[in-house]
Amino acid sequence: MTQASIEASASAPLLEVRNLKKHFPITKGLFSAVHGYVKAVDGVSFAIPRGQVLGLVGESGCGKTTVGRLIMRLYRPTAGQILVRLGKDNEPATDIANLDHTALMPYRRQMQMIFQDPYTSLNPRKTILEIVSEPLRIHGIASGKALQSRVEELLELVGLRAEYVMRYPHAFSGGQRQRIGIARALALNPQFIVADEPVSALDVSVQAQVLNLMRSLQRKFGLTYLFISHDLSVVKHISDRIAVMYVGNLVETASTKELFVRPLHPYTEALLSSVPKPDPRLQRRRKIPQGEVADPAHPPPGCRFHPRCPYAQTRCAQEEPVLREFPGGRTVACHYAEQLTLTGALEAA
Amino acid sequence: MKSRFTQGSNDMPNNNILIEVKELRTYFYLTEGVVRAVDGVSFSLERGRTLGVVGESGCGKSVTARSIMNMVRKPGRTVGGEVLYHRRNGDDTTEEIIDLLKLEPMGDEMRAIRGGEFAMIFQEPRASLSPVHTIGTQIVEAIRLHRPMTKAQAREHGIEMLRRVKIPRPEQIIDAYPHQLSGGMCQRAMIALALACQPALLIADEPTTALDVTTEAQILELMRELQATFETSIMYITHNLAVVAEIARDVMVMYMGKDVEFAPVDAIFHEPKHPYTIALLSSIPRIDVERDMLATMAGTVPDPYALPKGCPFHPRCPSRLPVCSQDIEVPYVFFDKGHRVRCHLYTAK
Ligand SMILES: Nc1ncnc2c1ncn2[C@@H]1O[C@H](COP(=O)(O)OP(=O)(O)OP(=O)(O)O)[C@@H](O)[C@H]1O
Ligand SMILES: Nc1ncnc2c1ncn2[C@@H]1O[C@H](COP(=O)(O)OP(=O)(O)OP(=O)(O)O)[C@@H](O)[C@H]1O
Ligand code: SF4
Ligand SMILES: [Mg+2]
Ligand SMILES: [Mg+2]
Repeated sequence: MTQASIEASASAPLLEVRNLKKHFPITKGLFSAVHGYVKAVDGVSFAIPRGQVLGLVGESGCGKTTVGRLIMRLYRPTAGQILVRLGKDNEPATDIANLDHTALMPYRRQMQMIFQDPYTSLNPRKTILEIVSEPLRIHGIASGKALQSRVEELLELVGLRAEYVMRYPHAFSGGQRQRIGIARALALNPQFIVADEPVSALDVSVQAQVLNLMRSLQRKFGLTYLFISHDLSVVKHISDRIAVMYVGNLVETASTKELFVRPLHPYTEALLSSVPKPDPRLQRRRKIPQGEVADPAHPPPGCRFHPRCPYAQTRCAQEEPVLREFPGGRTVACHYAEQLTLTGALEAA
Repeated sequence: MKSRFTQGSNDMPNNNILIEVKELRTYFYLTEGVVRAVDGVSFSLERGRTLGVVGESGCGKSVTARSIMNMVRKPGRTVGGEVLYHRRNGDDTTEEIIDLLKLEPMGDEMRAIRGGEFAMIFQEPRASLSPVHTIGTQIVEAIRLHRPMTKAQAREHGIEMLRRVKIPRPEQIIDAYPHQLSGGMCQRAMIALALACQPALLIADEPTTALDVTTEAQILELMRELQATFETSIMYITHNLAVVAEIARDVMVMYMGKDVEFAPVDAIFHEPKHPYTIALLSSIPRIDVERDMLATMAGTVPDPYALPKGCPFHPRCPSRLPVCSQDIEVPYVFFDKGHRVRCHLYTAK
């Protein structure tokens, strides 16, 4: 084996994004004069090894869906690279950031997205059979009887009854529609799935079923997921690692266990402490970070979290912290990560 | 005589009822059969209180809400029951009782109630906002429908409401289209729209499912404020039991179209009686507990066309008795503090 291929197989990620950016222009008036940009994603880098699950968490509007849509190339990035390695670990990765429609086709088949919104992402004029079978037909995988039985199999996999195939989306409850979206994403046996809030619309018992299902599929087929959620208790159950996002940037990445036992970024600590407890006798109001939510069109200078950070010093308002490496393969973007002792949500084992 | 369903969380007699739902039944007539989405639900909601409604995906929560608003559409039909609205005149001295189901769904009176005294936050925010109009146009129109304001005043009020639901740059976002907002921002715009109308009844169907914990906590705070100021009654539908623990005074648990348990929030969490409620509580994913696979409920979701005879939960119930599968309606069993349950375990004694 050559030196290069040994290096590649040692840590070959299936997906790696480098300095990814998406700035949406803010326009005004009929002639759409641009007078500013929403920096929805503003320099995000991470890698997901094959067969692993990276959870992406953060506040509403911080840019999670935009990251997912960029990777799926539903948007063209403003800047940055999206390196994908679908073949063997020792093959070189391809940067799909600027590929055109035709060049993207083979990647589209192997990369699927479960959309956040189970309502608008399903065409109301198509039956469930048509919706779930669409990817199979587009890529010419199956037709006729084989197609129908594959769809029925997929529906059963996500806990829906096969008799439902001829119904339209409006006849399903919110949670049922979300499972239709999952069935569609699984149809092509993809290698990589961006799951955008796949269980947020589900009640706890179905949520548990779907999470267990996604997890067993992931183990069985060695799937790789980017699992986007605002719900830490959900992400925790499925992710190997977690990336915490705040206003267009990553502020911390760590293995799931370490993140919950000992967060290193004050925003992660704040997120963990504001999870409500399912018990009316415990305090009815949560601790939440004070202060205004930052605006991606006008991010605060220095550390973007500083106006809400209980540990902020003068330096935090002036100098932007970079994502630095810490022992155990963690990364954190906080000037004082070494000094602070933050509280997690789990006891260290 | 006062119905036993009108008991609140305390034993005090009360005449502070806003909505009384009696034996509500809403069915969907499909070619494959009849879906009994809501099949005998009774409860009442007092002024200024919050009722949490929980239950598995597809159990009929949203259909119950739509039935109360008298907005069930074909192939669905409310085939039985009453929805009594205790409407007060301006100075709270007299009260008339209207059965909303007797009103013409699209008639003037029902539309006036739906748009003015009642407000609903729909489970599907993106689908209920028009994609071709800006957020501002939609808020201004809703506000002006039932509050005497000029366009400019309504716009100002709209911006203020967007600010209160923590949307950054509200004075710009008001001119944005729904597709330019994140999932959670759409949901918050929908909440702003509903709250701007200061309703007597707010039906919130999964209003915070797309929101992270910190934003959610801020929204719940806002709802509490609104409730304190305007004595708004809230029917809060959610699958998140932790949120129920935080916001609800009473909780109704539904299973396959039936109200299987109703109790003050503390009793639901600490003295649950129905085996389904007990199973539901044990399947909550928690961040402070470690588990590999989440606990799920035994058995599969039953076929909605062929409801199990007797207690709908009996095929999955760990404590079932021979009587449970007999073809008899499970009676209500009443306990103190308005706690009631539909389960044979408590009638056998
Ligand atoms: N098509 C678009 N045009 C303009 N702005 C957009 C567009 N899509 C997203 N944005 C903006 O980018 C920011 C990030 O949005 P994104 O949907 O990525 O957030 P998110 O983290 O997924 O939030 P949520 O948890 O609420 O879904 C928001 O401020 C949003 O308004
Ligand atoms: N338009 C319709 N046509 C046919 N069936 C319907 C229709 N709307 C709802 N149903 C059925 O009625 C049942 C109850 O649906 P509902 O939307 O009330 O569930 P839910 O409790 O709100 O679930 P979720 O938590 O998933 O939103 C489901 O079995 C659903 O398939
Ligand atoms: S009535 Fe019987 S089957 Fe139904 S929940 Fe109670 S014990 Fe179980
Ligand atoms: Mg999103
Ligand atoms: Mg619903």
